[in-house]
Amino acid sequence: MTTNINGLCPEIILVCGALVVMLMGLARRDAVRRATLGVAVASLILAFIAALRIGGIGTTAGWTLWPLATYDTLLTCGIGILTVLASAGMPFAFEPGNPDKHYRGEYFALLLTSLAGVSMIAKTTNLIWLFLALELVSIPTYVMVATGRSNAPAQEAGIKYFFLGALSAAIYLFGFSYLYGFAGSTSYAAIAAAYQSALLAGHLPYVAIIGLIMVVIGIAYKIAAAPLHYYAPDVYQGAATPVTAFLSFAPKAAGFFALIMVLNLTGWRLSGGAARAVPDLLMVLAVLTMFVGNVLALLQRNIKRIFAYSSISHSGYMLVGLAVGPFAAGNSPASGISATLFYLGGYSIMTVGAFAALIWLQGKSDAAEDLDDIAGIAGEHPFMAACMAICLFSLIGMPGTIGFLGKLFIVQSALASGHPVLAILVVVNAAIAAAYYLRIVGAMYIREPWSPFAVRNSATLKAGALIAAVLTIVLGIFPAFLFNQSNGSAEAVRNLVLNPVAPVATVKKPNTRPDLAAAQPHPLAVPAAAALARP
Amino acid sequence: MNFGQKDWIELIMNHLTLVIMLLIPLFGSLIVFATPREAAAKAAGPMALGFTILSALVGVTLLTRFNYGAGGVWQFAFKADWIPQFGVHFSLGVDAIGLWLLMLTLLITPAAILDSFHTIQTRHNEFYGWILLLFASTMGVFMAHDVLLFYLFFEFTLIPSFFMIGIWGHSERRRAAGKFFLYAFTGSVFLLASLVYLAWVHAEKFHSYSFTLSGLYQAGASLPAWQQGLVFTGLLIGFLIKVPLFPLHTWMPAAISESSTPASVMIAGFKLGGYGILRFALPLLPVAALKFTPWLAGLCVFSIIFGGLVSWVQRDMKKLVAYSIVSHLGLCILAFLALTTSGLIGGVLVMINSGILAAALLLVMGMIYRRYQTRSLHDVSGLARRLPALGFFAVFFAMATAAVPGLNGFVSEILSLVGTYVSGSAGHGGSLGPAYAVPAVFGMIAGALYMLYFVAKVIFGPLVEPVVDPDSQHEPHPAEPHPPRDLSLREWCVLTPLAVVVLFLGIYPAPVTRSMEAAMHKLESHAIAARVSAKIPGVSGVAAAHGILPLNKAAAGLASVAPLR
Repeated sequence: MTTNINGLCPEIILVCGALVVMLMGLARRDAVRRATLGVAVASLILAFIAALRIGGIGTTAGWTLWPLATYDTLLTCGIGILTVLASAGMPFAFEPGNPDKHYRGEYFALLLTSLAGVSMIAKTTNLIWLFLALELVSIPTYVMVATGRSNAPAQEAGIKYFFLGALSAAIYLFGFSYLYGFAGSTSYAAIAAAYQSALLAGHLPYVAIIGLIMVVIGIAYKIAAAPLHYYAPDVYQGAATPVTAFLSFAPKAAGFFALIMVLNLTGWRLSGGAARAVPDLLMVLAVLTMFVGNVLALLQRNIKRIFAYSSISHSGYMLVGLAVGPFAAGNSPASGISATLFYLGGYSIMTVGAFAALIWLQGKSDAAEDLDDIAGIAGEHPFMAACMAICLFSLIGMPGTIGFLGKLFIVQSALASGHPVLAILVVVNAAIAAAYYLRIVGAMYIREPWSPFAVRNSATLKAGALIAAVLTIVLGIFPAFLFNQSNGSAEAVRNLVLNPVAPVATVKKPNTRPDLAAAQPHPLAVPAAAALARP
Repeated sequence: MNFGQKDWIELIMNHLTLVIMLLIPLFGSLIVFATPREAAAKAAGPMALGFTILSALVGVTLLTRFNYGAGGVWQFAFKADWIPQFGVHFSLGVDAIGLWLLMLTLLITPAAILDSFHTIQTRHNEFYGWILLLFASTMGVFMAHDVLLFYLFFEFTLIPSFFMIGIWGHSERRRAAGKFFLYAFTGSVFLLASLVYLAWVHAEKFHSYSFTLSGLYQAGASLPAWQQGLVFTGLLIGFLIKVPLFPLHTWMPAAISESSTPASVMIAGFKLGGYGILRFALPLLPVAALKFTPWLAGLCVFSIIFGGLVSWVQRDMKKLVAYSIVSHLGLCILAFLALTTSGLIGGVLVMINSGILAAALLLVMGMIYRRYQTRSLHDVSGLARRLPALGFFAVFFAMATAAVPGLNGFVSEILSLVGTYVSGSAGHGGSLGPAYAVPAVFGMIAGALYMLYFVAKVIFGPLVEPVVDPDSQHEPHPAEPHPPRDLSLREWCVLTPLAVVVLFLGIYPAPVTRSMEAAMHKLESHAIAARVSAKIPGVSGVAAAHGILPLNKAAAGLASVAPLR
């Protein structure tokens, strides 16, 4: 998948960490089991450092976009640390002798494996690898949903999530097969070359469009885009809250990176004729997702369901960035890709922060899910309420937080690429969203308490929420680090699209870049494409 | 380079003053938030007052150091990069308009804080923390020279206001807080979209992103009329909700009547919406502003009359003030739209005076509420017999609101009306005229009606005092012993400074009006130029350019003479 094994260092660290955690989770002594959390955090930190150190590796290595891959890994490990901290104390009640209520190493092992998958997505150079990476993300999450809680709703959520997930995997795998049929190869370079020559020739075969549409729809499930969002509220509500926090990040990040990788193949230049269907589809998905998420969230009283719909709506904002693509007019600082990637980072931080605070406020029972359950909690627990409020205001998009900059960049990228209507729809949705987030803030601060609170007094959890809240504000005021990362990745995408690399030659000789005219489709690609080309 | 002690003083005095003014309450709010709850019950209020006064003292030095000759120039500028890729700077400064609105903020906030010593009985540290944050962000609005920075402060005011309305208030406070936030937030997202669009236009036309005011002025002026219209609509939605103007006003009566006295004082006293219209909407998009003027001015006139009449039939004292604000700010926006120097100056004066007077009246009503636990005009009467000092202040502020000559309300209303009247005639900017000014006069008449009604009902007449059941103490104002005593020393301290300023601005408004001339002159000629370039019939460019100066003098003359008549 990559020409350089060093590049896989972070994933290797994560998988090794997962194995160690798995073994430690089998230990007899509780102290060892309890240490699994520390090991998980340590391996994530190590992977983060590794990603930073190898950041510039092989920047010319053909189809691997190192800035994007580095951003992917940094984001995965950084947010991964937050999700691990938020998972402190899984499961919720400790009873010696009861295997259900025991510190369990496999939880963190699954989590790390899934994260390794997310981190690998942007390093793939081949559809097969992309499929494997996506499955590596998904399969552990099915288990996490089903085993995170031992009650019936969790089982139901697990089943639902698994079957629909498998269906979506089938859809995008089928789409991949079309792309293979179109290009005659599963390697990105060959497919991109096939697209390029077809686009240059002026007629793109339907198979290339249909395949792409199926891939987009399959992956839309991963990011919970409407109308493929139906599982999300039930699964979010049914799963244990730390698992929900993880679900709101990992599959979504994986989905967006995968979408970027797949759309890269087309050179982001699908316009005119039937090819328009793909950008149009993205745009329709974006608008639908924003509205469905926000409007349905208004009707909820269960906080986890609110968060589920809110995460749907945020997918909508990010899809806007994808729909407007990597080209922005003028010297716009943020193209659509850059805005989406920035938003993804910001969204992950504030959502996981909000979940960490929610887990803390939910107490040992993991049952407090209604707005009434956290009414007036700010009086007794001002610190965690403040962390939650900061994350919520950021999700609203109040200035001074990272959520504001995310929305700003999205709106700006939509305007700069000539889609003012999309920009207006984004701000309309931001206004709708304010209502339900404000309801949570209002419940915490303005209402009177109903019943005594039993919070989960965990320093780890507190640290997770605090880190997220502080990052929300600090990155909201000094966004340079995140902005440079996301913008650098978007630049890499743009450069790749503007100066595409030839299919076979560059993989072997990374330093030579034949120019646009020299790029020829893969030898196998020609007959297949010709056979399927529309008359 | 020799950077000596003198240069440091220079730097601090000239460039860091505004930053220091902002940092004091921000830092203060952190300390107040962090104060433990038990200690905060006693200490938070005085601490907040201390930080506010410290910041105000620094601010007052601006008055002595401001170069009034160059009132149109941004002074005490501070600039640092913030998001360089995006052309966003942390850029502060004040010109004459900002200076006086800043002073308004500095005047009202200490009074509100001093009043909350009586009023706020729970969760002290949070309340005073929020009040300091609201204070800081409001100052930031008037200081910001970068449009995105302005937006940041503008929007941030919602958070402290939301909590201040929602936590400490009357029974319907939660609904009022939510309504307030959602209205204002909805408006401001459109505002954001418009501003970002302008920045992008700047990037496309001038090849660099910019959010500075001057940059966006260029960008806005370069747009074709229909695009200006769209962007202008976005700005208007944001600002008119905040002003508020009919029909976007409904959050205001709820927010003011359901919140505690200090919160309502600060919401009523800070004029963010009007400032936004004057600073951004009108100059950024001159052609659209002219095109929209007839419709918008009609809305303003309606708002003036509607607000006055609704105010007249209110039975809730605080709602009476809320609707009077709707009426007054209608006049303010009308005067801005007139785009004549006297109208623009009059409009700013309306903002300042309406801010002071609404705050003062709300404080007086809070004092009545504290004694009788009622906001209804029907429950109390003849208070002048029981509380002569409070009665005096009530009558004084009511008279000023009703525009009695010699007090500040009169100056601003007369200037605005004259400005509207002459607008559109030969040699003046704008396109309004008597057709708008004459109906607006009814606003003044209505103002006299509702204020006299309030005074006659509550202050004069037979003494009627509701009996307060000491057990049923309403939040947030704890009842005082019965029969109530007249103003305490603290209440004197709250009201006296406001009364002094009311009198001063009524008798001698010339320093304020003169200092703003240059800035307004700039705006007016800008408007005339836009009108000429857009080929809107009615005035030729040459005549206009010649016509400005005499009017300018006339306005200044009027401003200094009018109250003495």
